[in-house]
Amino acid sequence: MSPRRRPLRVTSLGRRTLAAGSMGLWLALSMWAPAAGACPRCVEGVLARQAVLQDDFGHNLAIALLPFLIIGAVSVRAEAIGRHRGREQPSSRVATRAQDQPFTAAGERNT
Amino acid sequence: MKSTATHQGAIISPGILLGAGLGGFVDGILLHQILQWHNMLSSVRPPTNLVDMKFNMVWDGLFHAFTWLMVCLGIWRLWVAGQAPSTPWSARTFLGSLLLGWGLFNLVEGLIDHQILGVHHVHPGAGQLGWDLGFLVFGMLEIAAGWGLIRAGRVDDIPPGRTEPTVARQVYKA
Repeated sequence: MSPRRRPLRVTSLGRRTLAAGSMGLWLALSMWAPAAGACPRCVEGVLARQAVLQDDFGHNLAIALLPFLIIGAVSVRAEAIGRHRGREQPSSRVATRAQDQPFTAAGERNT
Repeated sequence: MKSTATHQGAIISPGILLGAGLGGFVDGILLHQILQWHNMLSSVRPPTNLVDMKFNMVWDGLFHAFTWLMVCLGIWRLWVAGQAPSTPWSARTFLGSLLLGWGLFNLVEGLIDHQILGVHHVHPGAGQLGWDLGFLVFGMLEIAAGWGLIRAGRVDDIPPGRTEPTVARQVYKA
C-alpha cells in the first residue's frame, strides 16, 4: 500500500514570497516601459489610419476575409458527414424484428 | 443494432473552424509579430517607415479579428455538438479536424495571398518561392494527417458524457 500523499498547501510564507516576486517583476517592467510609448494621436498614426481607409479598403478587406470564408464554407459542408449513418437500413430492420420476435402469435417460427 | 453517435460531421465542423482560427493565430503571432517575417500587406506596402508599419499593423489586427471570430464560431459549434447524443465524442476525430482546419488555412491562405495575389510572402527576399512552397507543403501534410485521424475515428461512437458504449444508447426499432 502506498503512503498517503499530503495535500499540497500554499503556506502564508509561500504566498508572501509569490507576492513579493510579482511586485518585483512588475516594478522592473515598469522601469523598462517608458522607453516604448504608443502614439494614438501622433501624425504617423493618423496618416496610417487614413491610408487604411483610402487605399483600396474594400479590396484589402476582401483579401483578408476570403480564406476564412472558404474555410467556413468547407466547415458547413463537413457538418453533413455521417449525419445519416446512424439510421437503420430497411434490410437490418427485418433482421432485428426476427431476432426480437422469434415466434409468431400462432407459435410458428418468425423468419 | 447500431449506435446513434455516428454524426461525425458535428465534431469535424467545429474542429475545422478551431483549427483554422488557431492556425491563423500561429501565423499572425509567430510570423507577423515575433519573427516579423511578413505582415498582411507587406508586399503591397512594405513596412519600411512608421506610417507603413502602422498601416500593416491595422491589417494584421483585422486578420487577427477574423481568426478570433473563427475560434468563437468553433467554440459555439463545439458546445452545440457536445449537447447532441448523436455526436461521437472522439479525440481522434477532433484532433484530426483541428489538423485539417490548420492545414486548410495554410493551403487556402498560401494559395490566395502568397501565390495568386502576392500581397505578402512567408519570408520575402532570396528563396521566397521556396518558403511559400514549404508553407503549402506543410499545410498539405497537416491535411493528410488530419484526414487519416478522422478516418481512424470513424469507429468511435461514444456519445458525449460517456466513457464506453452502452446498450441503452443503441437504437432499435421493431
